[in-house]
Amino acid sequence: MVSSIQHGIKRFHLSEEARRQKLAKEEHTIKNYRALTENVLTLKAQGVFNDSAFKKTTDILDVNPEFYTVWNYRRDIIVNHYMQSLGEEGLVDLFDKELLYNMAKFREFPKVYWIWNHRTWLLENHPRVNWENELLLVEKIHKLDPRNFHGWTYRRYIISHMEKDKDLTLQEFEYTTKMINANFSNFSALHNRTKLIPKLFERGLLINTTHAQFLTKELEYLHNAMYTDPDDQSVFIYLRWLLTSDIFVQNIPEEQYIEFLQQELETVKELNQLEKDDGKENSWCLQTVVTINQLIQGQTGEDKSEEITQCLKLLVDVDPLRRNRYIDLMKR
Amino acid sequence: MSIRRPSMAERRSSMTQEGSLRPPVVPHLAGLEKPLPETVPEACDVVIAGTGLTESILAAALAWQGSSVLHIDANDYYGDTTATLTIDQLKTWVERVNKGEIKGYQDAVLYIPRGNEFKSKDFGIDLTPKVLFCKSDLLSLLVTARVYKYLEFLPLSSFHFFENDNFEKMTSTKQDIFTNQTLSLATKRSLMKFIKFSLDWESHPDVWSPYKDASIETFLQEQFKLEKAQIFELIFSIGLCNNNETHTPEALARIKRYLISYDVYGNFPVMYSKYGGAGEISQGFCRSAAVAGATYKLNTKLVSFDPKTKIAQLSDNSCVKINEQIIISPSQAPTDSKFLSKQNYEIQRLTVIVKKDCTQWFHDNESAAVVVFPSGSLESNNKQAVQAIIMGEGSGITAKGTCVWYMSTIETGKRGRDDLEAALKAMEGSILRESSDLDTQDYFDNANGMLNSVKLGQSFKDFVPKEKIQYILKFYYIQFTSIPHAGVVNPNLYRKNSVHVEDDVDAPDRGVIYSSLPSSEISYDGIVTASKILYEKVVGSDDDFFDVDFEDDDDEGSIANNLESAIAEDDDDDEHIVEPGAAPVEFAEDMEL
Repeated sequence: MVSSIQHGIKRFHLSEEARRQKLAKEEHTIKNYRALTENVLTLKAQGVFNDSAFKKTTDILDVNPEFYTVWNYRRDIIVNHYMQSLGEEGLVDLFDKELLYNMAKFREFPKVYWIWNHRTWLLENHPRVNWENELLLVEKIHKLDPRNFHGWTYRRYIISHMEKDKDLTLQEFEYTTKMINANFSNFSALHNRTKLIPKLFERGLLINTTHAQFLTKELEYLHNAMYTDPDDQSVFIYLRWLLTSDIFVQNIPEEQYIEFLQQELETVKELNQLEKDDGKENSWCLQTVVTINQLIQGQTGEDKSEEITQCLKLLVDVDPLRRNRYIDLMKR
Repeated sequence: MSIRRPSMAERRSSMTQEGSLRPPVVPHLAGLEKPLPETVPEACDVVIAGTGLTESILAAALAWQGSSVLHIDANDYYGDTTATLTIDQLKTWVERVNKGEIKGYQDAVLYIPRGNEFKSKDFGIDLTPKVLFCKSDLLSLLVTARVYKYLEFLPLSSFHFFENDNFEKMTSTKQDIFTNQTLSLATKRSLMKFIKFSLDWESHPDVWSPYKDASIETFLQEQFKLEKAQIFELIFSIGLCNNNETHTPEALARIKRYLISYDVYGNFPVMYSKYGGAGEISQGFCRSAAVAGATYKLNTKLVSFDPKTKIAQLSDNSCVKINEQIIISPSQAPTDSKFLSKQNYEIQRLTVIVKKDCTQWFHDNESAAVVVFPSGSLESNNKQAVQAIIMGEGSGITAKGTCVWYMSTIETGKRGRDDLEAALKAMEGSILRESSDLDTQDYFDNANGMLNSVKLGQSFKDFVPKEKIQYILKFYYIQFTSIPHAGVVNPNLYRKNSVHVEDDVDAPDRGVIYSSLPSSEISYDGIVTASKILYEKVVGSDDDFFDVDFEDDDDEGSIANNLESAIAEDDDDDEHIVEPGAAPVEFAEDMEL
C-alpha cells in the first residue's frame, strides 16, 4: 500500500551525501576486486585446486555473487580437491558449511540465479541431505518475500526429492492456498497451483470430486479475488489457465465445458459493467471477454466475431500501450 | 505515600544488560534515577510545570535546542495527566480530584472490592490510555529523538466493533476482503475500491468535495454504495470517529491514518508501549530532556509568576528568574489562577480490571485489542461511540490472569456514564460467552482452504452465562479539555495571558502560557502538534524542533544490519520455541516514516 514498495519489500533510499561517501569507499573495494579477479582466473586456468584458491573464490563471491565462472571454479575445487581428500564425515561437514555460506549469500542477494544453482548442486552432491530443513528454509524465504520465484522454484525442487517417500501434492496445494489467502497478487503461488492441480487428479488425490466440481470451486474462489481487485493481472491470467488447461477441457463433458465458458463470460462482463459504471472499462475484463469468446467460437463454431471486435476496439482506447496488438488481432 | 513504581530503567533489563540488542544511546541519566536536586537553579530560560506527554516532548525539544529548562511537577511521579499509576497512586489521585486539587477532572470514583491477592504495584493504569499509529508524527519523533530506545513497543492488530449484540471481526485489508465469506462480490469490490481511494483521497476532490459538509455516512452510501455494516466499520473502527455525523474530509483523514499505518512494521496498524502508555512515553521524553541538560524537580508546583520581574515562585520556597517563558499544564495551575482557558469539552472514562485474561479478543501472540461500540449499538442507545482499549497481561500493566479495559466516550453528563456502563455490560457478556464451553468452532472449508472463525455468531445471542466477572478495580472519572473532539489542535488554544490586565494584578498566573489537557483521541494524534506550537511560542519557530544530530547515527551498515536482524530473527530454529506474547516491534531508523 506504500508507493516505495515492491512486492511489499522495503527499499532503502540513500541521501546524496551518503551516496557520495559510499562511492568513495567503493573505489578502494573495486581496486581490490580487480586484482583478486585476475588472480583467481589465472589459478583457474592453471587448474589449481586447493584450500587457498577456495578461500579466494569466497572473497570474490562475497563482493560479486553474479560471477558464475567463480561459482563454477568453486565447485571444481570441491570436486577435484575436497572430494578427493576428505572422508565422508569431513565432506558432510564441508557441505554443511557450504550450505550455510550459500544461505548467507541468498539472504543478501535473494535474486541471483547462480546462488540457487549452487545450492541445488550442493544438495545433489551432499552425502546426507536434510530435506525437511530445506523446506523450512523456503518457508522463511517466503515470509520475507512471498513472491520470490526462486524460492518457489526451489520449493518444487525440494518437494520432488521429498516425494520419493510420500506424496506431498495435497499439502503443497494447501500451501499455495495459504499463500494466496495472504495475498492473491502472487502469481508464483497461482502458477504453482497450475502445476499441482493436474497432479491432484493424476494421482487420484481428490476423493469424490469431479473435474467439474473442482473447477466450480476454483472459479468461485477466483471470483472473490477478481471482484476484490479487478486490476490484478495474476488473477485473470490464472483464470485463462483454468479455462484452457487440458486437465479440465479434456475431462469435462463438452456441453458442460461450454456452459462453464458461458457462465464465466457473464461473470466477467458483469464485473466490467460495474467498472464501466464507475467510469472506466477494465482492460483485464475486456481481454478475458475476448479470450472466452474465442474459446466458445472454437468449441461451438458459433460466430462471436462481433463481440470480439467490439472489445478489441475498446481495448485500443483503454490499454493504448498494446494498441497495435489489438489492431492486429482485429484483422484476424 | 504510595510506593513508587519502578522507573523505566529499573524495569527494563535490556537497558543494563551487557551485550543487549539495543544499547542505550545516552548514559544513564542524571535526574530520573539519581536523587532529584535539592535546590532549583536561580535562573533558566524556560520553566515547564507538569510532566504530561505534551509538556515532556516540549521539555526535550527545548533542552536539545539549547534552552535551559526547569521541568517541575506537583506530583511525586512523572506523567501528570498522562501518568501511569499504581493502585495506591490511583487512590491518592482520586482523593485529590474530589478535593478539587487537580484541575480538569471531576467526579472520580474508585471501587476496589476487598480480598484479592494482588498488590498495588502489579498494575500500571494509564490516566490517558492511547494507542500509537504506526505511521504518525509521534512515531517519527520517537525515532528521530531516539526516545524509542528507552521503550518497548508491542503490536496490536485486533480491532473489533460491536453490532447486533456481537463483536464483529474487521475487514480492512485486501486479504481480509478476499477471504471474507460473508461479503457479496459486489460489496468486496466497492469496499476495496473505497480503500484504494482513501489512501489517496486528497488528490481526488472531485469525488469528495461535493460531500465536504456532509457526513461520512452519506458519502459512503452515495458515492461508494457501501452497506451499513461496512460503513460503520469504516467510520467507527478504522476511523475511530465518535459518531456517524463526522464530516467527510475529517473522517477520510482518520480512515487513511489507519490504512497507511498497516504494514509499516508488520500486519498491524497500531502499537502500544509496554508497561504503560502515555506515562511511559512521557518518561522517555523526560529522560531525553534530562540527558540534554534539563533539570527535574518533582513535588514542586508554581505558586505565582510575576511577568514584570519574570520571577516565578515555587512551592519549595525557591525563586527562579525566567529568561523566556513559563508553560503550565492546566492540571497544575496555581491556586486562585484566573487565566485558565475554558475547558469546554468533556471526556468520560471508565477503567476496569477484570480477573480474566480475555485472550479471546487478542490476535495470536498479542495482548491488546481495540473495541468500538458505534452509535446506537448499546442498550443505552448511545449517540456517541464508546471506544475501548483492552490490555492483557502481556502488556506489562496488569497482573497475570487479569485484563484492563479502558473505556471512554465524549458523551456528557449522566448519559455518558450510562453509555460506559452499557458498554461494560456488553463486554462482560461477550467475554463470558466467548470463554465458555460453547467456544470457538473454527470452521475449515476444505475445498478452498478458507479459515473462518464463527465464534461470535448470532446463535450465541441468547446465551446465559453461568459465571460472573470478577472485578479487581472499577475506576470512573470525568476529564475536561480545551481541545475539540476529533478536531485539529489550534494554535489559539495556547495564547499567552495578558500581562497588563489591571484588574488581575494579583492573579498568580499572569503571563504564563497554558498547555492543554489530553484530548479525547485514543491515538496520540495532536500531541506532537501541540508540543510544536508551544515550542514555537518559546523559540519563535518550529524549524529546529528536534533537529538534533545524535552521535550514534551509524550511516553505513545500518541498512545491512537491519536486514540482517530482520532475517536473523528466527535463525536456527530446528526446534520452535513458542514465546508467550508477541515480540517487541523493532524499529528500523532508515525506514521512511
